[in-house]
Amino acid sequence: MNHTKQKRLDFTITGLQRRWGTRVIVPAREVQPEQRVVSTGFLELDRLLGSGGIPLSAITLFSGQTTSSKLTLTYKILRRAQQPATTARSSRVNSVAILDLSASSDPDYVARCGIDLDHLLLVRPRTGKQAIDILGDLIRSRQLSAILLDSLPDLRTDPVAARYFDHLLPQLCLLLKATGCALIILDELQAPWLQWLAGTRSSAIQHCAALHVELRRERWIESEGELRGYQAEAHILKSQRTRPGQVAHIAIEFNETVHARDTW
Amino acid sequence: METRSEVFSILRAPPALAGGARVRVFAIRNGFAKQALSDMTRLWLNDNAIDVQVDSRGKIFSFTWRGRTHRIQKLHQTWQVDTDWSSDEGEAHREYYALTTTDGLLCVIYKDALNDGWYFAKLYD
Amino acid sequence: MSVLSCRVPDFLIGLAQRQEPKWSGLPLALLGADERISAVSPEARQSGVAVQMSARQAQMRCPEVVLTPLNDSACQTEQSAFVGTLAECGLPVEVQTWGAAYVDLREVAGTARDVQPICAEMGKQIRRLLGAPLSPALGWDTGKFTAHAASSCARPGHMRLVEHSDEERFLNPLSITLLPLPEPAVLQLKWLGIRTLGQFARLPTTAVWQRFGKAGKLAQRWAIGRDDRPVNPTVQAAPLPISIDFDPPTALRNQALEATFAALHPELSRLADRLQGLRHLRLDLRFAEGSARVIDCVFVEPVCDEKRLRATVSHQLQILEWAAELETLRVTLLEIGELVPRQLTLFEIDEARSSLGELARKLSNRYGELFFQARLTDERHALPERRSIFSALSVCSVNV
Repeated sequence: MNHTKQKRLDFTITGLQRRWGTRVIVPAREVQPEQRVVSTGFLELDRLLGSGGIPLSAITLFSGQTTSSKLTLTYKILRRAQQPATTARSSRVNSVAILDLSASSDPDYVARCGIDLDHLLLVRPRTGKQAIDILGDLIRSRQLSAILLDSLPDLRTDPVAARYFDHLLPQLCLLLKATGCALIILDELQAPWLQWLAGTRSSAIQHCAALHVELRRERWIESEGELRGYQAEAHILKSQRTRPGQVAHIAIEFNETVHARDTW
Repeated sequence: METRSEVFSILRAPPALAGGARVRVFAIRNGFAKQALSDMTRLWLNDNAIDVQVDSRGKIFSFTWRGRTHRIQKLHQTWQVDTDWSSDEGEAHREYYALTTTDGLLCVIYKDALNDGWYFAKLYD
Repeated sequence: MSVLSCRVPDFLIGLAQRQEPKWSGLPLALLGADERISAVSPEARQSGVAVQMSARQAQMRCPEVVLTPLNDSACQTEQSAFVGTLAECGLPVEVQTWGAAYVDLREVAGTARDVQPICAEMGKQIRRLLGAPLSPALGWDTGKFTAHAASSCARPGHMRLVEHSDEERFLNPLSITLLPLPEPAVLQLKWLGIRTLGQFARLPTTAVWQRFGKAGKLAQRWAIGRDDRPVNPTVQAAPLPISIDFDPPTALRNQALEATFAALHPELSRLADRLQGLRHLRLDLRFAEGSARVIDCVFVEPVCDEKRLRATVSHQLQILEWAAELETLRVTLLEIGELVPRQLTLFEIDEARSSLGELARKLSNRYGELFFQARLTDERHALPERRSIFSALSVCSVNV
């Protein structure tokens, strides 16, 4: 741009800023992009998800049988959610919360996954309805970057709570969008006829989730007869950013800290 | 007080125990006790009693937890923990088993020697 | 040690009432440059007006309150005169806040009998300088905290001398609000029934340490009169001016602002480390066509918070008419002062954790004790359930 045009531009900007304040017009290079995703910590999975991680401001559903690594994966995501965005000026650690309906969280394991216990709120609701109300309040507080609901089957043991949750899901989605918080829900895989029998069959959560990943155990990793780790497949069942049906492989090694082979 | 150091002190210099008390030996069979405990996601402290089924040789082959029976596929590690009676948090004498089941669970169960009960301790998820 | 605490109660209010005698006895509040209440008279305080309230809030609490802007330059002059009078004796003087300072009498007197005539003389000089309504209250002891407590208990125009052997007996019945505790800690102690320094001092040290950490242990020592802090003289050389040249000259205020704070940031960090802040910041602006402007930012209380400074400087740059493009900007830190609240605060509260604790407390009021924070106690314990503990985050939890 030539000098006269530059001067005119500067003059116009100055006039606007004087009238409306310094923040009314800012050069694009100064605009900090918002963090819209949280990395899972597994490179292959992040690539497959299309956006580099699970979405903030939306529901992510991880389903799979017990021992499918869904909780470990979620803890790694919570650890990432605690870290401030690389473009943020301050280095303040974000807070996350776990709604532990089964009362089975192990702080030792949580710490080994890298989560800062000082910025973790552990909630142990007594009833399903209480859990849902607390979830709404936590999202509304705008103080948490991610919340884990562990797990949906524990919530659905009470049919009233299950119906209440399905009814509230759309509102929770709107709240999440407004507050920028990520909600991760864990679900056990059950045969459809079992769900029908138990009266818990519902597709509401699948409908409202922005991302649905099913984890399946592939194999144990053994070395010299000893169990050294675990390999699982992550099947993308629903995603707004990528084609469903894709599969990523994640491997976790057991060595007193929890980390993935390929990422860290 | 750290459990191992308590027991090591007993092994190095057995104290004169009154009343005919026996020294319990701390046995780590293959040295991976700490590792197995560390790498399990869930920890159950309540509602974790299990029923164990043993075969004719006295070896456990399955257990029932929360109404479901899990058949043991492989026993990976066993270890024993004994804490001192003077420990602030209370005495504990347990035999732990880290195992995988045929339906894909990787878990730790233990037998509590104080009440001869079996309990589900940890589960990998 | 031998420390004299000289305190003129309601210094700023007293100066304003001296200026306008008709305000004596009325509820009076002084507004600072940030449009917030800086000082409150006892009558207004009784009606619920507090420092840092907005004018509107103050009027809602007390409709008869007289609101007047704080005459900062006049107050600064009086404060300098007050400090200067104390410093005339040639002893180290540490300014605490408006109308309050510590004097180190170690070199001249160590017992109450020797100190009394010196204190009386200092008191008379201050009264002569400021006038009878602004008589100081003096307190003396071997430690700063007890001296401060003694001056808080003394009436204006009187002194309270506490001998070393009488320290505990003197401090026992005094309120724990004398300790520089944050509000949550005070609430917690009051909820536990601990209201006096004596009660706080009698708590088991290990329990206090567990609950409040090293700072709690220090507070306990203060509560029995053991305060080893020296009197730090507040005379020090201000840092040299920082000159910023813009090549090419700029008309963008944002650019000037960023450049100012890029240059100030290391100095502000150094001040924060020493628990000091800026009282007076000067910006000399020289424009391309030769004209110059000066911006003076004066703060009632020393400030080292970059966010607050940035807001003030940005506002000043906005309202200033720029004749041409800015060529040179010179930043001078004219006056530095102690960060009084930060210097005395014992309990560091991590903001993020405290907001999490605050959230948990609000929710526990509604749902009960369902909110916990986990802590690892022994990562290597053979029993998994003994590796960590859960602490309930409820009304009485502060540091979990």
